[in-house]
Amino acid sequence: MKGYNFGFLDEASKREIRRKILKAIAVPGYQVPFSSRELPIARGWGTGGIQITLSLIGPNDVLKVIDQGCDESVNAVNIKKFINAVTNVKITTDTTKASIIQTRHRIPEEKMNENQILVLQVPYPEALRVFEPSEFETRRMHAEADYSRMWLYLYEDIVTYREISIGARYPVMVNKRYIMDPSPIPRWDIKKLNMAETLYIFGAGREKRIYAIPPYTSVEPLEFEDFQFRVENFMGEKCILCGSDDTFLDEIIDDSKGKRIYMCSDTSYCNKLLISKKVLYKR
Amino acid sequence: MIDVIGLSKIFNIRINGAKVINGCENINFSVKEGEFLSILGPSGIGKSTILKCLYRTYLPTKGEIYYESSIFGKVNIARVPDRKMIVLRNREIGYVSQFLRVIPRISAIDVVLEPLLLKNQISYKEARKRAEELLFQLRIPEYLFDAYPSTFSGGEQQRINIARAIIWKPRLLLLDEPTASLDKESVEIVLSKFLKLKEEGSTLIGVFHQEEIAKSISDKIYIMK
Amino acid sequence: MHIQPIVELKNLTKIYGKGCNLCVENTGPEHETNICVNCNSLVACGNVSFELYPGETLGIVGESGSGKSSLLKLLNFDIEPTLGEFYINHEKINTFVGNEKVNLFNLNSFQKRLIKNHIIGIVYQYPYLGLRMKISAGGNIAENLIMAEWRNIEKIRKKISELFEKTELPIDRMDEQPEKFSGGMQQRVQIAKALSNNPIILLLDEITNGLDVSVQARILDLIRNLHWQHNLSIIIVSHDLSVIRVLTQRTIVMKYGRIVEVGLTDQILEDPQHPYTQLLVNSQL
Repeated sequence: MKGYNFGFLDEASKREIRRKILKAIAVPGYQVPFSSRELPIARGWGTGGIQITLSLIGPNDVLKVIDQGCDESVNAVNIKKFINAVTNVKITTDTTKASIIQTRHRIPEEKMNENQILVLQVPYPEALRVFEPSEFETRRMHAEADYSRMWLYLYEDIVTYREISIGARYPVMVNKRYIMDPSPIPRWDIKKLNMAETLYIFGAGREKRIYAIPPYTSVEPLEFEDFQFRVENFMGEKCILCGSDDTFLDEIIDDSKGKRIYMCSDTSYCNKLLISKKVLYKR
Repeated sequence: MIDVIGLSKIFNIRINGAKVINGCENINFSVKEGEFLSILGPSGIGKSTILKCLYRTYLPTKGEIYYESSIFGKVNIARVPDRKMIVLRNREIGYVSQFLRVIPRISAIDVVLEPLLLKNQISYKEARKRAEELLFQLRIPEYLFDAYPSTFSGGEQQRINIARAIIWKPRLLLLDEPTASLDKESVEIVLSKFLKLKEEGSTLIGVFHQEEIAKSISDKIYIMK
Repeated sequence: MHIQPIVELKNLTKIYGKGCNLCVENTGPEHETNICVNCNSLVACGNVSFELYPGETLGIVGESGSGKSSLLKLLNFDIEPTLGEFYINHEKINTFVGNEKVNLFNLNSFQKRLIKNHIIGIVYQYPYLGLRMKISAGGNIAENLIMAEWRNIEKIRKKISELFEKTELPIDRMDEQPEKFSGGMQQRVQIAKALSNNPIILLLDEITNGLDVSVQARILDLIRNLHWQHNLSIIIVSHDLSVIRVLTQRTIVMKYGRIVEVGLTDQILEDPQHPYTQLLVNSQL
């Protein structure tokens, strides 16, 4: 695009963001403040993730953008178009072919490798914010690893509901040091964070924070000995399209029949299976 | 065991204009181990003041109170640090006041056995057994053991008070008119208990309302004028 | 026989405001103020030193503003002193700070938190200072256990039940929020919380204030029993001399941030030396 630097942001801004990313990688799970730039997109619409992607991306990168697992949703498509317009990089929907994947609320089903980076968009970076409104106080808690109130929050949850009722944003302990908000990914994806081959970078544009999980870092969901972390259970339901029963499923009400149906949340994975199995759409 | 030398107590009240009240003046006496000393004299002359100085409820103004402690050796009670005095009170020196100072919601039996727990490392069960025996001997009806002393008659309260003071067999027992509120029968039981303590080696110093009592049970009499 | 104090406090001074060299000199009972005329700072505690001995109950009396509550908050690391030294002599402390005798006021906040959680229990005058009112009563106690690395809900709840029983709280109400409890019950939840990690030192700040006489008596009785059962060393701050009489062996009298008299409790009550103590004792109903 004429009149703009490669990647929209100027080089100095990109460098600042990359420095913050390096710091975030050096201190796994620690939230690094950064000076979130203006973009032609309102803050709170993925600007944290976009800034990370723009400052990391090079001409030879291959980009994939998903929103809740879907490559075709409006947000994903617009972000893809924007980044493509300012960088001209190749775009893909294939998880295995992408070098940078920007995502919101999901981690792809297919296993990612050391050569890939997953950039997650984060609405609320502070895991402790649910019970502590003061930033001063949450920073102190992180500094001193004073996490008893996070555990207390889980205790109260268990006492009230007989289980830990947190769906997305399940708090995790990174590298046995910092409690981290993994962004609103389902519990299903939490285990993919642990000892992963891939670098995960989290960006919160509105809240001006970057944090990261470097490859091969321990990430443990908080759990009590007798109330352990559980992933979502689909009670044996299968994807109505590809027939998978080992993926994270979206529950959809079929308006014409008034019935519940299930579909893979990761659309590109679902499509890949469909093509390989040569299964046709059951309309 | 005790040498009181030139003991004086003057109360210096410094509110509502200074006031000086004489408690007792230039008191001198000695008591040997195993002796029973009674202090006699008209009321208001400061008999109780002496006892309270010996127990350090009052800080003596002048003079010394040398006491041969089995834990610390010779100490001057007039100047011993608070901390040591607490140890002496828990382990060696007992005090019977004229009335029981009721502590809310503590049963009679617990009031009595508490000093036993303080002095010895014995179990509550064992302490309770010994407290029950003693209360039987002092003719406290069994149904009162677990009741609160605040509801008891004056005589019953005072017998609880005395039981608390003698159960742990202090080396030195200070008696401040212990029998004033007791009937004749109780007085005899209580006095026999004091004498039994003396037989077992305790030293006693007492102030009694009735002269006959003092004369009947003590080895020595100190008369104040 | 030498008895080593469990707590040693030396020259503790707490000044609110900018402070100056004359603050301590300009204030205290002989000046009848705790405000420095030179710089207008408030001297909450000035050169306060005392010892607490193992198994002892020590009373601190004085009217409002005498600095007694500030003193407890300083000992619980709730506020930072201006000057002073604080030592606890107990083997349990060595695991947190090493074998050397260190001034606990100089520790980092992580070490202070360990000491607060494992060695000191505190019960505040106002339950809302010591409890989270929106968190269940059991949760309030669980927080301390969690801090001590308890990670088993069943074990945590069993321990909460035991503490509830010990402090005469109804076990079936452990999942209710303390804001729904009566004042006496809230105080007992605070006591249960303070006891949860088997502290060595218990700090009690005006714990019977504003309670009915019968409830007061039950709380005092509870403290007495706990003192026996756990061999605690206790500091009790109160302006109620009957509380001091029932619970303590030794008493410190404070005025305008200074200690004006220390003595055996019965001596303080029956033969007070300082005019202020005499006034205090004679003002009792």
